Amino acid sequence: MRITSEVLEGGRLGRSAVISPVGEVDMHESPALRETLLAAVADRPAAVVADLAGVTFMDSSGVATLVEAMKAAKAAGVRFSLCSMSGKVRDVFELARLDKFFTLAATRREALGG
Amino acid sequence: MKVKTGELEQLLDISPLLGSTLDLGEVLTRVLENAGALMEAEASNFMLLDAASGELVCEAALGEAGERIRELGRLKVGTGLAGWTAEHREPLLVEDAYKDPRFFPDFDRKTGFRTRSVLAVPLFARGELIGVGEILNKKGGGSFTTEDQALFTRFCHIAALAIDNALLHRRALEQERLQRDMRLAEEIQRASLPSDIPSIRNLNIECRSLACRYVAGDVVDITKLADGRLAVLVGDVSGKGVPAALFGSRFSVDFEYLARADPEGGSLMTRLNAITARRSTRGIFITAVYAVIDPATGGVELVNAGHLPPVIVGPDRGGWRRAPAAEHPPLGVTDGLEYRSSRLTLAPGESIVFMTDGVWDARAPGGERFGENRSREVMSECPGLAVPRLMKAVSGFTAGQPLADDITVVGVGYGEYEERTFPARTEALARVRRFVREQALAHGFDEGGAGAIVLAVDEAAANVIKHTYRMDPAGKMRIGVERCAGRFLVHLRDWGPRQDPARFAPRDLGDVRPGGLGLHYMCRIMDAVEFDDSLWDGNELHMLAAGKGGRPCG
Repeated sequence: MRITSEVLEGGRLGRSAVISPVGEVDMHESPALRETLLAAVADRPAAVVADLAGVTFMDSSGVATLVEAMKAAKAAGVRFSLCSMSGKVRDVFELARLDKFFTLAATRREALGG
Repeated sequence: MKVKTGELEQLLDISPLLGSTLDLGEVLTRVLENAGALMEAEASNFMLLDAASGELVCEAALGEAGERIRELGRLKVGTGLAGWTAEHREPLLVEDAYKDPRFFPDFDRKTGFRTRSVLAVPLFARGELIGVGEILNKKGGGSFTTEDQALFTRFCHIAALAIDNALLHRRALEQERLQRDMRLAEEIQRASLPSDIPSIRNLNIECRSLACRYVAGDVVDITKLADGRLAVLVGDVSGKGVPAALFGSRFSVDFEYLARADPEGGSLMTRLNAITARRSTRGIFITAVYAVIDPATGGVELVNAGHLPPVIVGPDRGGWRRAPAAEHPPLGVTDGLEYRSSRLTLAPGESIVFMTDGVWDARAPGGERFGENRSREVMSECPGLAVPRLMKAVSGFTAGQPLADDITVVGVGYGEYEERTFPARTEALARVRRFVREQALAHGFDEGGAGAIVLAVDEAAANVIKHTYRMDPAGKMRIGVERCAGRFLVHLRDWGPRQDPARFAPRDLGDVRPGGLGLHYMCRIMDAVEFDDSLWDGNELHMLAAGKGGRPCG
């Protein structure tokens, strides 16, 4: 798995961090994603977006990482959303009925406020 | 007969002194010392009853002839003054031993001691005679009196309690030592059971064993032959416990030695019978079934030596039949017999199951036998899970009752079966997924179906790494995939610490928190997820997906 982090200034939501993991997010890889997401939240931008377009597989450790980041963001007053999920990754969220707990956007643009 | 106040005080002083140790030798020494001092006797002698031989055994004697008396050892109940006391269970006061016809002068002759007066009192504990206390020759001459008898009788009551406590303690220690030895024997026997079963494409091999009393008289051997075929031996030594286990161990060595030279069924069993007949003592014999299975064709060569016939299960629910094989006498009954193998062929999806009669003989708390019919129902209910379900059913049926007999079950499933062993490390998960995905696609699942199965197996493997091995990188796990019409079965085996099945319950989805979702995914995706704790080392998880027109197994 590869992770890219971008900080975007001046969007409609203000300063936003976009974290884009690419590859498979399993128990071996999710600690790195967790570290990146929590660091992004700790930086207190207006929004953190996890762009999942490049994720080809995600298991419960990846889902748990996103749940933890969402909770940390909520506590810090940071808007947190997921975008560009493939059908396969969306299935993982739906199986756990977690889709309704997250702000899901179809595209990165939508997640950043259009 | 009354005891004087001063003597009562002496007795009260003696009581805690005798009870303050549980060492039998120490108790007896204190008893003798105090008896001699209290009763002003030249010698004292306490003999304990050996219930097995009906003799009084001299465990301790003090005084000038004490050592020699102890060496003389044993006296039959009914012989001599002490023997009379034991037989009649009443005290005996004799003023001059040599004038009493019951006196047994052998002791005096051998020890050089000259017995004059004797006071003997039976020792009772918990209503049973445990021995006789005896004092000899009042110091300063004269005879013991009836007052002495009253005092010594009370002394013997106290002494008997202390001696009985020490005897109980000694028996408890002996019992503990025996149990420790039995546990060690069990460990040694478990170490000789096949743990790392050979990996053979197209054959899914499962083996389970339970001992009824620490060590088992069941014998099992599972070997991959040089030509790639599988050889299975399941045997049951007549009798139970340590003798059966010892004979079984020797039999296993003989089997391995002979099978290495020629593993073909008929000739192997003929030679094995000859050597077992020579080794057999006290009529001990072994029932056994030996099979050589060809993974390329499903062909089975079977020899049955007086054993429970193997059964063939599947591939469809309800499918069950006894494997047809010529029956021969058990091994070791008589030399010079010729054993011949029978042939049969397994269809893809069928399993051949070998077991010992301990399965049928397992009993419920009410005494009901598990029996053949129940075995058949359980195994044919879900053919791919016949062995683990049978073990689970037996375990539930007996509800913790001690087993009536040892239990060994070996199942060999024939069909599309492949397995891989992976290190129990997170970096191996990608390889696990690749293997399972290939198998699922080959079975005919579409990308979505295969992806879901991959997720379920990934979760199960991650649980093994995290919870069973606690991230210990030395662990390993084996994933076996069985594919046949209507079912896709994944078996995930580990060799980690035994896990509690109660832990395997999906979480409440209303509770949004990190972690705990893995089992939920497995249960949602697969048609059956069954935790199997019937292995003697490690755990196994069985996951079944119905596919290609299959039916889920409830």
